[in-house]
Amino acid sequence: MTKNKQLKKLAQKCGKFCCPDGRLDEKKVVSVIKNLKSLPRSQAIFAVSEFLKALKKQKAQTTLIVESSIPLPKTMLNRIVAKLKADYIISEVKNIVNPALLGGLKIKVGDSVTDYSLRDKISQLREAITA
Amino acid sequence: MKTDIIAKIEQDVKALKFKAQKQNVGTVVEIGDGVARIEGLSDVGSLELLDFSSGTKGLALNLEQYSVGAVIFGDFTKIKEGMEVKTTGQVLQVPVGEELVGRVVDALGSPVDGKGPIKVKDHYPVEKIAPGVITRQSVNTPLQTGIKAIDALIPIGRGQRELIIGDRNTGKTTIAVDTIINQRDVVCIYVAIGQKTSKIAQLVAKLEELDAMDHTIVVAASAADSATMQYLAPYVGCAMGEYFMDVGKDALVIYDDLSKHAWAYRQVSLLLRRPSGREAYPGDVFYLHSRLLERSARMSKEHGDGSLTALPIIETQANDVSAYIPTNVISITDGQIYLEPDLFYAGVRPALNVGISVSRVGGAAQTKAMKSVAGRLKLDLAQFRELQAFAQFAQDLDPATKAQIERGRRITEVLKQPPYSPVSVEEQVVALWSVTNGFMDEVEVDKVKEFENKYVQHLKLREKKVLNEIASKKELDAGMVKELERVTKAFVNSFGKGSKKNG
Repeated sequence: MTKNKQLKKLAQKCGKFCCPDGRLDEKKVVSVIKNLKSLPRSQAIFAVSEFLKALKKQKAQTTLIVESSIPLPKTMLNRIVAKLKADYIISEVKNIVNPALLGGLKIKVGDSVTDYSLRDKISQLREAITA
Repeated sequence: MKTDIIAKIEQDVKALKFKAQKQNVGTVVEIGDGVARIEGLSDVGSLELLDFSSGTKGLALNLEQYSVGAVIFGDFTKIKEGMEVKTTGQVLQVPVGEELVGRVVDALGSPVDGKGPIKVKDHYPVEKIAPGVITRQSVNTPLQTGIKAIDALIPIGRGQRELIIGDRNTGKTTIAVDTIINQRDVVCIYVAIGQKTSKIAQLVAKLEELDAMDHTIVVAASAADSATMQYLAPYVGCAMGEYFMDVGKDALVIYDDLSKHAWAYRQVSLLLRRPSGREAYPGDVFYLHSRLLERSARMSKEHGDGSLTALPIIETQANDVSAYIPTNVISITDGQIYLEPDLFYAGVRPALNVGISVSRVGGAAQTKAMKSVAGRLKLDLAQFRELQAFAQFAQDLDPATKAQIERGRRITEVLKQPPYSPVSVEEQVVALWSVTNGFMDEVEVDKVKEFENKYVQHLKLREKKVLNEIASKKELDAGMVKELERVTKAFVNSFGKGSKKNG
């Protein structure tokens, strides 16, 4: 149990080590995997899976998700990235089509979400009327 | 009317400025037993209110490196794995104010008595730092419980924290309810934690029957509510009491009971996977109760002169006061009222053990009249207890010892009191004065109660002036004592003749 906890912590540290400035360093990933593989088999499986989870989390922190009611052209996405680059490290851009937004955009980077959608404006309006 | 409403809505819509909301979000990765583990929420603060997409609210309690442990208010069955959670930037707040008086609310301040919504002007945070040293003053005003044994021997002052401790079925709640009934200018808050809903309903009905609900708020977190609600309820009751303290009023809050509160917190902590300590309670179970009870205070004149008195209740198991939670709460409070099952079944009700019950600060708040009779009473009772143990082994006793034991028996009789019948201070003073000054020595023990009742009735009907003087002056001066002696002697003679005739 304690060993697993220690391994989990180690794997999480390795995850951070492989993304020094938010971007994945492939060389570092390969060397970490090599080192983790040298552990006894059961521990190696656990450590590698935890390491991959940590990498996914690190990657999610630098992934820009743009939700919109219709698919956005690349130029538009590039403009959004250019605007956000000053505040966030962005390694990947995804565009998700969500008709429930009705219009506008919902931008998510890591845990931070900014809602410019029509649905949010309508809910603000509803709150103002019912309050 | 309709046009007014439409105009108001139009005005609201025109004044509205839409703004893009930047929020910190997370995802539910684990849910069960009212506790959720959420990944993300990197900007969340400790004790921050969380908003689940289903409309349910939660409270962030555990902040870890990649995840947040949160407790959920209300129905957690609607929350699913993968659901989005938002931070709100607010701490948990509850409605406070005069509007709540006379109502029964749940642990979030929502009404549960079916009397409609409560419109309040103010909200208070549930967790608040206790008032500091500068803002307080020492306890100087008595909080009359209407129970002779307590008001005379274990007096409670406004702003004090007095623990009521005892086994199940020893009359702990009855003492609390009696105290509520006896209040007129004090707002009472009764917090029911982990009790049967039927018992809470009975209590509310009793308070309504005795016209005590018009100065009482009941915060109910019954056994059917989640552990989270039971954990929050005392803090909510305290916040409601703090409002009255802040506006310069006197408030009394009863936590019934803190043993169940500790159980609820243990459950929440274990589900949040916090390390457990003694009896599986988490390490901060002392702080759980100390931070709650420290919020009771008597504020200085510059800070409103209000007060918040706390009567926490602890239920012991098999009379064990040395268990973990009882010792914790005993050390936090300013004294304890100890109730014993043996006394209860022997017919001494309230079943107070006056030998080990104490009030550390209440003495300063006692009125002069009560002080003058209580001193003698304590001495007589202490001697009686000592001699009673001795008399069990010795058959032949000297007359002085016999007289002392007889006096003690009569005092014990006078201190007995039926439930829901609080006695005013002046009536307490005259009854205790007459027994400690030997006026009941000639009355048979089983007739002491009858003597006391008739004596008080006699004073109320024929010598109202004496009672009024004690009530207004709050002391017994030489002139009043002389008058009382004259009246009591006359009554003793008439009672003696009456009982002989009846006999």
